Amino acid sequence: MHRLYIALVLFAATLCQARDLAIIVNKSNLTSKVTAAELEKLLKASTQNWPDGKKVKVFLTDPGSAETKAIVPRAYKLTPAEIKAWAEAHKADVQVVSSDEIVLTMVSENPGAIGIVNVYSINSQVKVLKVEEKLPMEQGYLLHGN
Amino acid sequence: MKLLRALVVLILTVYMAALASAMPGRTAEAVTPIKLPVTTTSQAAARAFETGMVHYENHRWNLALGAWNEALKLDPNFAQAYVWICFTTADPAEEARDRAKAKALIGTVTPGEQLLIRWMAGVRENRYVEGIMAMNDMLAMFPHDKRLNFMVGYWLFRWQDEYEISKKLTLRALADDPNYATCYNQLGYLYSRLGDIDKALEYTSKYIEFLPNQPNPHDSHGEMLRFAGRYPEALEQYRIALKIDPTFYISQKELGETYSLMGDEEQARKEYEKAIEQAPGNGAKAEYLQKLALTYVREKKYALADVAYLDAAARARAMEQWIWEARAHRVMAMYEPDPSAALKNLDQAATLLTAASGKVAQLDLDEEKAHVLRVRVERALASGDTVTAQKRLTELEQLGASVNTQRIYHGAAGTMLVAQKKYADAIPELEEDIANPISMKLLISAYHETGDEDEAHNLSKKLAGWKVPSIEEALAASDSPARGSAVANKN
Repeated sequence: MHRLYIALVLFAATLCQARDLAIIVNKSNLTSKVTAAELEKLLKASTQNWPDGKKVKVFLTDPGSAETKAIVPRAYKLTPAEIKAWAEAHKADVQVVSSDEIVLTMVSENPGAIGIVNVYSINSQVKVLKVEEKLPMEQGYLLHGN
Repeated sequence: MKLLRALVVLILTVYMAALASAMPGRTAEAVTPIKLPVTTTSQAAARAFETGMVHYENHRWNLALGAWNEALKLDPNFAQAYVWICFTTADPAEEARDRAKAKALIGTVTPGEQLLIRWMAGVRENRYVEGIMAMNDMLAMFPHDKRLNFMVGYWLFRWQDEYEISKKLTLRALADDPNYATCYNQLGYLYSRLGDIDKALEYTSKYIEFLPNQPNPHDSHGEMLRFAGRYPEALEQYRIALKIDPTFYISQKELGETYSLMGDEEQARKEYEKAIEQAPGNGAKAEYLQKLALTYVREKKYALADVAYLDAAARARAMEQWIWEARAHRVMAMYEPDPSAALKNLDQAATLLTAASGKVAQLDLDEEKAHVLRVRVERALASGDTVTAQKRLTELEQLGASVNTQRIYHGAAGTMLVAQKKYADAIPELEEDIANPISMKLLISAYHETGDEDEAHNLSKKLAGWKVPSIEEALAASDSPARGSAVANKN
């Protein structure tokens, strides 16, 4: 098979799998891009409402998982443990769920929702926000994996 | 014509749904809808297309391409045939041409097929968000189409290194049909990527049990044995594959790869020669010509390597394999000791890539451009010219965003940071450029410099056991003449 593939096999033991994470919102949300600072405020519920007045509600999977622990802290500017503690203390604003599928469903069903998922999980039921003018998989994207 | 096409779609859809309904143990709810429809005006074209899909599942890519091209002769407006050729071919010109045709025909096919085209074209054109959304919408539309689950799983593991979702989809396909043999092959490769070679061998053995008289199961099992360092057994499996089907050129090429890893470059060249002769497509021939040339680099016979790479470039040109032609010059620049000669080769590669614009997929073009820019960064740093190195790095950063292009950029950025002795900053960049022994070598030095001896030790061990024939591996393993070593003269 492909040469790179063989190389990856041999590298697997040290390869920490982390994917680009997508910031998703409800399709009715008029916002299509945010800055890193705006994203941090939204995720920490410092910004409580979207410009159209809808209440912000955050959905994410375990910020300490192997797939997300290296990336989610870039958005929060907190460690995974701090994010967990913060989520625990702000249950009205943030919900930690068990899978990307649930995040996608919750975001597609809640007009004010914002969520974080593996980019390979996204579908057209949600809108993907640009962060600092970049979409997932674009060079320089804030929540880039490896 | 539109009415006729719609009628054919309807017939094929109903036929496939009926087939699925006839399967034992399936509820009506579970089988609705079943499969992605296939839009064509010709039943014969539909049959040829299906033959191609079965070949694809068995990794007989050349036969699949042949069958799909046959389908196109019968129905020149067969959108799915175009898109699968584009997904499979190693020929960038064919890929670009057929992708354009598939996109032009998108309005003539069913919604599910439209999603298939949007997925495949989107990711090929660096519109990943759009492409991935279409991919998942398609899977949601046909959750029990085992082939779609397998194919998406294949794309995720082979091209995106996304193993967990790939595994989930492969297992979903197997849940629908436990006799779907190709999924055992896929699980074998998935586990090997996850570092579990024993489990990988288990699955490829099972694949052989299902299809003992097919060459691919033996080829796959041979590959797993090679990963395990069991070379004689690997060679035996490749020979079994070739005995079953002497035209199974992939196993012929793998014989070359295995001998090369064993250090028998003379025998590797003999095997590669046969593989070049047998390869059915120009893309594969161009690739194997450069594998043959690489054996001279591994032997440090650089003058002979030049002859072989120039021959590979000329033959690539004759076969209209523009990127392979450019690549030959870029690789020559990688081992060339004379900086000005190296720059000439890089300029030649860049000129060839500019000329290829519009003739090949932008993704492939950008990836090779990225390789050229990385070598320029390395060359500039070797000459102490950090201004030029930074300029080239900025150019590289602005290139497309494929997974591979990003890795190349991070590798170059890490190289630059190591040259500036910013070791802590270099580490995350180099860690992104996985599977490149040149970056691994720099990463080891960065680990040492930052006092992370454990990581340095682990990676050194891994690099010492690196067995993948590539130009990066050959240069990292030897003292490359391009890096001012004691063997700085071409022999």
